[in-house]
Amino acid sequence: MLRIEGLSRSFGGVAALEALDLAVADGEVVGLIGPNGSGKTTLFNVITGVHAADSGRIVLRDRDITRSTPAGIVRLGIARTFQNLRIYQRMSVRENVWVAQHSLPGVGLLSGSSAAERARRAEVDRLLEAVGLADRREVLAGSLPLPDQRRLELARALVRSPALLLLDEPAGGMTPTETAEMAALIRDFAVPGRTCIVIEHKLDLISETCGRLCVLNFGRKIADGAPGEVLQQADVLEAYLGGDAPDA
Amino acid sequence: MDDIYLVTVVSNIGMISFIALSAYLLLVVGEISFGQQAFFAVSAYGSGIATAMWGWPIWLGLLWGALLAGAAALVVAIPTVRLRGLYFSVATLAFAEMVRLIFEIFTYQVEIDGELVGPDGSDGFRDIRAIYDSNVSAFEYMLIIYGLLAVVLIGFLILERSRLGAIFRMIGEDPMLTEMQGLNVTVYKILAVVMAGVVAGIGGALYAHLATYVEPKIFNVMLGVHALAYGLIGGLGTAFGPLIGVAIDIGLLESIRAISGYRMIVFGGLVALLLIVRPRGLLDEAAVHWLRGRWRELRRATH
Repeated sequence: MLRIEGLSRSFGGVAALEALDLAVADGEVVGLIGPNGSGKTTLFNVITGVHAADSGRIVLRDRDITRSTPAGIVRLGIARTFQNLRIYQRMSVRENVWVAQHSLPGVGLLSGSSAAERARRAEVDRLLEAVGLADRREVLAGSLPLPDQRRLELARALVRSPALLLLDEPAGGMTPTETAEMAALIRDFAVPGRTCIVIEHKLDLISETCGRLCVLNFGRKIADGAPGEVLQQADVLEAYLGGDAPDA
Repeated sequence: MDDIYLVTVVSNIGMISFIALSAYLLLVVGEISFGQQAFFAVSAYGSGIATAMWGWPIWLGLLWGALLAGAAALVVAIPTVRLRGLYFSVATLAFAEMVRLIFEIFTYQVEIDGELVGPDGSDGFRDIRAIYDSNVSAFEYMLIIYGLLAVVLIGFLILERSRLGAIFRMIGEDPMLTEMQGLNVTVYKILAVVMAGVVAGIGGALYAHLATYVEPKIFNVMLGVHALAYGLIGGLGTAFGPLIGVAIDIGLLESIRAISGYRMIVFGGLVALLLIVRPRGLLDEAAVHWLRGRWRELRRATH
């Protein structure tokens, strides 16, 4: 599905990603952890074209997307959420999901009442139902509490049925109960049938959703494998957990 | 006498509404243009030339003026839409001043019935008499202005409910996020600038034919600043916002005798006050959202 080869990106002389290699197979769900500033979000930004790579290659299903525009990459089937939530605050909850359909093939610039448009509206409602926001679909998105805004972002990312889903701290700022709900939502609804990379500090969410775990430190991959094994590695404990054993 | 005055004021409100809607459309996509007066001017001259010098019918002159304004907007849009914020604003201001200065030296006259007709640099362009020659009364012309305004406003209201309108609002709120919904932001911004140019152009063409005389200094930056202020006062949540802004300025402030002479001070103060208390105007997105919600409830209750 996704193959990253020798990917590097630096900001003002500081290497955020350094010769990173990562291959993700079809249907795989990979957790990505690492200390703050280890390059996790930079990796998402480079994959989605927000930042250009300094060197290296990103290949999505045998297609080199290293130099593609963000819009082009989305149309090829990658969707993401953001660590610092990005939603359209001045639009309603329903509109925030609806907007992701605008660039689907066959969608016109007006919104008529054709059968196809009705089906698309029903799809928006179905997604809102699934993430538990159906009863607040007409509320302004900016007025939702943070956990609901994260759920809204997830619904929006799923609108285009992306082949590859990138989740950037989907449970950021959530309580343990909310995190558990989000983990269940990801596991049962978002992930089935697609490939996924999840950045998260909360190891219980990772262990709940991911079959594989990668650890980044200073822009390099220092571990990659089954979560149980990776979390026992000495350098991972040192870099990520300051030497303490994980509680997950 | 009073009736003529009233018709003139109401006509002015109508014509200025076009340039207010034009600036509003760009505010919706998140850009502040100080240059919408340029498209108003291009169309005023262009349509005037078409009717007074080439003998075209008024409707064709209007259409020509609006298209010319749209073309000028396209020329501005291509190099400038990648600029953001202040840089875009300065670029539009520079363009508009350039257009004004070109009209200061633009001379193109032909002899019609022994008289020279056409733009004559800073002396302006006289005798754009098409509506008087075809015996359209001031009142009838006011109806034409409002007929066209209604068409444009309906267009804006359709736009607001459409995916294209949503895309414009998305760009205004977060261009990068919009790009990440698979949309080419640059293309849609160019489209918005061109549409705004056409809308300003309709107003410019109507203005030239009512005034029968245009000169470059009418199209100075103050016209563009007013156009911007109307949206900021009235609100950016709906196309009715800028129209309310126009009505407040021309309809209310100009008609209150007590503040005559201080109008600009009151107007400026009002803009400053609103930018502090309601940064996106009276009818901002939250207000419009609330109103739509009440409207839906009302309709449900009556059915």
